[in-house]
Parts: sequence; structure tokens; C-alpha cells
Amino acid sequence: MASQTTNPAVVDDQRSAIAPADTVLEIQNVTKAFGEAIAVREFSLSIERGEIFALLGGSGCGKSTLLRMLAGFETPTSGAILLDGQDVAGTPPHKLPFNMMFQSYALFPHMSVEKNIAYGLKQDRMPAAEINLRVGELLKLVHMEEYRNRKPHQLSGGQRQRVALARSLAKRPKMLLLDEPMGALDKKLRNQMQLEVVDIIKQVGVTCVMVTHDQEEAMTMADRIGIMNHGELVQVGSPHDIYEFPNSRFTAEFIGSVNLFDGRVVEEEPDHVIVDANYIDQPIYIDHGISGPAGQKVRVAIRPEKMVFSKDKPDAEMNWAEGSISEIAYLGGHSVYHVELSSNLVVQAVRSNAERREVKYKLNDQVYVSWKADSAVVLES
Amino acid sequence: MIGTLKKLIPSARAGVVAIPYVWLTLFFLAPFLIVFQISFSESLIAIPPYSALIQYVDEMLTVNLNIGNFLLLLDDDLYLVAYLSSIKIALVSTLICLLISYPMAYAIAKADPKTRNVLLMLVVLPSWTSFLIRVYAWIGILKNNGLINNTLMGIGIIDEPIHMLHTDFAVYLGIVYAYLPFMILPIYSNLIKLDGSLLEASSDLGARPWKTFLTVTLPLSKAGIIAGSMLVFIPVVGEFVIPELLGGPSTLMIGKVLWQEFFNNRDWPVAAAVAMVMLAILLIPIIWFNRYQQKEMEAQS
Repeated sequence: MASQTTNPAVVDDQRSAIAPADTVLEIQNVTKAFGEAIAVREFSLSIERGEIFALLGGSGCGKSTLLRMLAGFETPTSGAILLDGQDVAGTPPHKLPFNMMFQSYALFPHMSVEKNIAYGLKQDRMPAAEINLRVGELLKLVHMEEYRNRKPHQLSGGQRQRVALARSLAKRPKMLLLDEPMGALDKKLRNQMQLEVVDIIKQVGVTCVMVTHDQEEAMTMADRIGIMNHGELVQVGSPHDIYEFPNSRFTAEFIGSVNLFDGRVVEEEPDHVIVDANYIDQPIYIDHGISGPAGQKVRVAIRPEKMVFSKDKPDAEMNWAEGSISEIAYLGGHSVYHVELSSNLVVQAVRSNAERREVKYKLNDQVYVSWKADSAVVLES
Repeated sequence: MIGTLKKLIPSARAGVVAIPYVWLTLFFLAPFLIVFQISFSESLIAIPPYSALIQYVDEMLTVNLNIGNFLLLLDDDLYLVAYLSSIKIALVSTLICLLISYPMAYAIAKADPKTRNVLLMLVVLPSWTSFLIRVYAWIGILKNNGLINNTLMGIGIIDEPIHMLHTDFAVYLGIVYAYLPFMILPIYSNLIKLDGSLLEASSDLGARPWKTFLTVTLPLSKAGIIAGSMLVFIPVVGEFVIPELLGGPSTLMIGKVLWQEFFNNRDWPVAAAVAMVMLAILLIPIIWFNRYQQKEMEAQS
């Protein structure tokens, strides 16, 4: 759906080149307390110019509070928010060069699409002719030219979203804030809009901070993701890093599904580590070292799609376990198998259904689950 | 057989739907038609004190429509002046009510939920006592040796009492006092529904709080303002008790004229005509209001 047209008028005066490690916004030790409850705790983060950063977390993790502090709706209890080196914490929203796209879009119901988009420009006392021109550009950018005079209630969900996006981009904000951007759309439209919105944001080149509880949305849209839990930042990284190398049980479980094994380090070398897991007979061999002495208790995570199983017993000494299939969930493209090990531990394995006719596994089949040396990750917490 | 019988007995659903229709027919349509008919009759010294519209004498069915009552209304300045004065008083007091109510409703809507209920209670509480008693209380407050004058004279601010009772001022005061809740409540119920994120969006886009109020809050509370204004304006036009008790001889309101025609002159037909014209005048804002509401409903769906 996302079109390839680039409107030079819109892109011209925006930063098109993204300089590496060029920090726009620096959040320093920000804490926000509501009475006794602490919503955000000692939060520090740098946002690079031109990136799309997603704050991902469950409800009540403090991500929305953080976004509202950036927008100026809340004042941090302590800490600083530096925009190009200047502390803007506590500045009222109408003085901040940030614009927000609200979860419910918050389009003014008594104004036409055109008036909605022009609203921010009018506050800046831009001359009418210029406003008209700018609104035209924005409508073109979001492919809504024909809807200029419609009222919000005459638009579909996706169209409202486009108008909301155009409105928040109208003033060329230094930073665009998105609050659960796809929260109000159904799943199919959501996937389509995610790509379209990213396309538009990249076209304009604006720095963007978004907040979402939907990991798929964060992975699709963001350049970098920050995982939040209990008001704190748990892990920051690219979608790939966060998925493949989670640093904590929380991240591992929050993003995708994961098999977790508690165990003890029995051999620790710079290039590999061997972990004796409590409920698996064979030890786990991991081909990268960890910083910790032998005997240390650790937790090992293995993603279900990295678990393979077969009816033949593996030759290797390590990295496999024996069990029987206790549940099968057929999901079309792939199936999820639950394998109950002899220790009663249930592990998940995902098998893609690439072939129509392949060896079918049935319930209660005896299988051997195995994984490669680089599949497992040792979690720090 | 049973099937046809069942069809004849109205269902419970039809019964429920019928209640408002029956109610309106009995208590609005029937009295309205009676008054309407009286307005076209002639005044008689009899019981009832007006002529019948339809007569059947000597195999002759005659329908006598007397439009003299309406012509009289046009002829005599008194009625026109009374109508205009009523409308003026209603307009001015609606405006005053609006100016006082909007900030009150706004403050109540912005208050935290606990205080909000107390404040709402305080708005409604006075109407738990009789309307008449409350208007009488104003006499005690406003009269020459009443609360205000006695206090002011007691502390030596004035030597002579200020004449307040039986003036237009007292009428406005009484009306605004009595009708304030009818303005506050619709505006409040409108403001409380206002989506807070719209105000945040406005602020986020660079509008100062006052600008946000003018461009977002005020236009979006239009429905509440109109509803409140109707609830005040319409009954005030026909108000009788307040101008009768608090107003002076110069206070001319159509409600008072109506009363005089009925009870002093015993001219029911003219009184009925006065009532009919008043209804016609009030119909204009009512129809306009209905249209507006319909448009709003369409916009919301």
C-alpha cells in the first residue's frame, strides 16, 4: 500500500541524512511518582536523530507516563530531559517543539480534515496562503487529498489515522511522539498502516518515539526498541538483538515465546560454556562464553523455532532431550509442538509447514528434541 | 382461533410503547385542542364562559369561528408590548444564567469526582424546597425593611433603603436564581463528556489554554449551551409567579396578562388566544433546537 512517491516540497527542508550517533534527546535519570506510586524510575535513554524508537512494555509499565513527560503533559518528579542539550522537562506542551499522535487520534470532531491539519499552523500565526500550501502538501503525503473537507466522523479508522499523522507532522516537529499508534485499528489494517506510517515518517525524516504494548508493532516499525518493566528500562537494542539476545527472563518472555531452563555452570571457557540444566538429562553446550565462575546458577533461553525434533536419537552428547508430544497447535504457516520431557518439563518447538506431505508427528509420539550450540542464550537475570 | 385472539391482545411491547403516546394525548393534545377551540369562540356570561364552536339548531349545523380574539391581540398594544417584554426578559435572563452557569459547570466538571458530587448536590439542593417559598424568601431579602436594606443601614452605608422589591431588577434576580440549575446541569453533562485528549491535542499543537478553550471546549459544548438556554428561555417567557411576586406594576409579562384575562376579565377566549400565540412564538426556538439536535445526532453516528 505504501506508495513510493516522494514529495520534494515536503522532504526538502527536513533532515534527510541521518548522522550517526547524533543525539537529539537525552533523558537523564527521570523519575515520576504519583503520590506513593512510582510510574517511572531513574530512567535514562538517548534518542538519535532520525530514528524510530519504540518503548515496549505491558500496561502499567510506565511507558505512557514517559511519553506524556516528553510531550509536556506531565512534569518529571526528578531528572532532566535534554533537547539538543537544553533541559525541557516541565515545559508546557504548547511551547515544546514535539507533536503527538494520540491513541484515539484526538481529531477535533467539529473541524474538517483541513482545519484539523491547519490547527497547529494557525497557532503559529502562519499566513493563510502558506497554511493552505502546507496542508496541501501534507494531504498529498498521507494520500488524503480528496478528503480535505470531510469531518472526522465521515472517515474510516485508517483515514483518521492518516489525518492524525498529517496533523502531528504539520508543524515539522523536532520529534514525533506516537502513543499506541495502531491501537484503534483491526489487525489487518494495522499491519498495512504500520508499514505506511513508517514509510511516511522515513520520508519526512522526523525523529520518532513511539509507545506500544504490541511487540510485533514495535519490531515492524522501530529501528530500536526499549523494553520497559515496572518503570525501568530492561533492555535497549535493535529488534534483532532484543529477540536473539534477550538479557533477562522478562525480555525473553515478553518478546515471542521461549523455553527457559534453570541450571548451573559446570564448565566455563572463553569460547564456550556448559550448563547442567535441572530437568534435562544432557548438559547444554553454548558456543559463547559468559562472565561468571563455574557453579554459578544461570537460566538458559532457547527460542521454540530453534528447537528441532526427530524420531531418531541424536548422535551428539549434548543439547538434546527425549520426550513425547503432548500438544500440537496447527497455525497454518507453522505448527507449535509441546514436547513433554521425561522430567515432566514441557518444551515448545516450532516447525514450519513448508511441505504439504511430510512426516507427520502425532500426539504421544516419542521424539528427540535438539538444538544447535549457538541457539541457547544465557540470561543475566 | 387462539392465534387470532392472541393477535388481538396487544403485546407487552406495544403496551410499553403506547404509554408515552397515551400520556401525551391525554395531558397535552387534549388540553391543547380544548384551549385551541376556546380561542376561536366568543366570550359569554355563562357556564362555561364561552360560546360553542359547533351549533346544531333547526337542522342547521353551523361552525362559528371567531377570529376577533386574535385581531384584538393585534389591535391592542398591550399584548404586543407584553410579548416583546416577556421575550426581552427571557433573553436577558437566559444570557445572565449562561454567563454565571458556564464557569460553574466548568468548575464542577473539572473538580475531582468526590467534590464534584457535593457541588452537583449543592446546585440541586435548593429545588428540594418549594419554588414558591424560595421566591417569597426573596421578598424578605429585598424589601425596604428586608435583610439587605437593614444590614446596609445598620452598618451605615446607606441612610435610605434602596428600592429593590417590585422592580425589574427583582424579577431578573428571581428568574436567574430559580432557573440557574436548568442551565448548569446540561452544560455540566456536556462538559463532563468532553474528551480530555482533545484538549491535550490542542495544547500539543501549540494553543495556549485560553485559545484551547475558545477553539475546542466552547464549540464542543454548544449542544449543552443550547439545551440549557432552551430550558431557561422557554419557561421564562411564560413565567407568572416571579413577576407577580417580585415585579412591580411596570413589569409587563405575558404570563401576567394571561392571568388577568382569565381571572380578572373572565375572558377565556382572549386568554386562550394569548396562550396560542405564545405557543406559536415558542415553537420557533423549539423547532430550531430539534433540527440542531438531529444534525448533532447524525454527526455522532
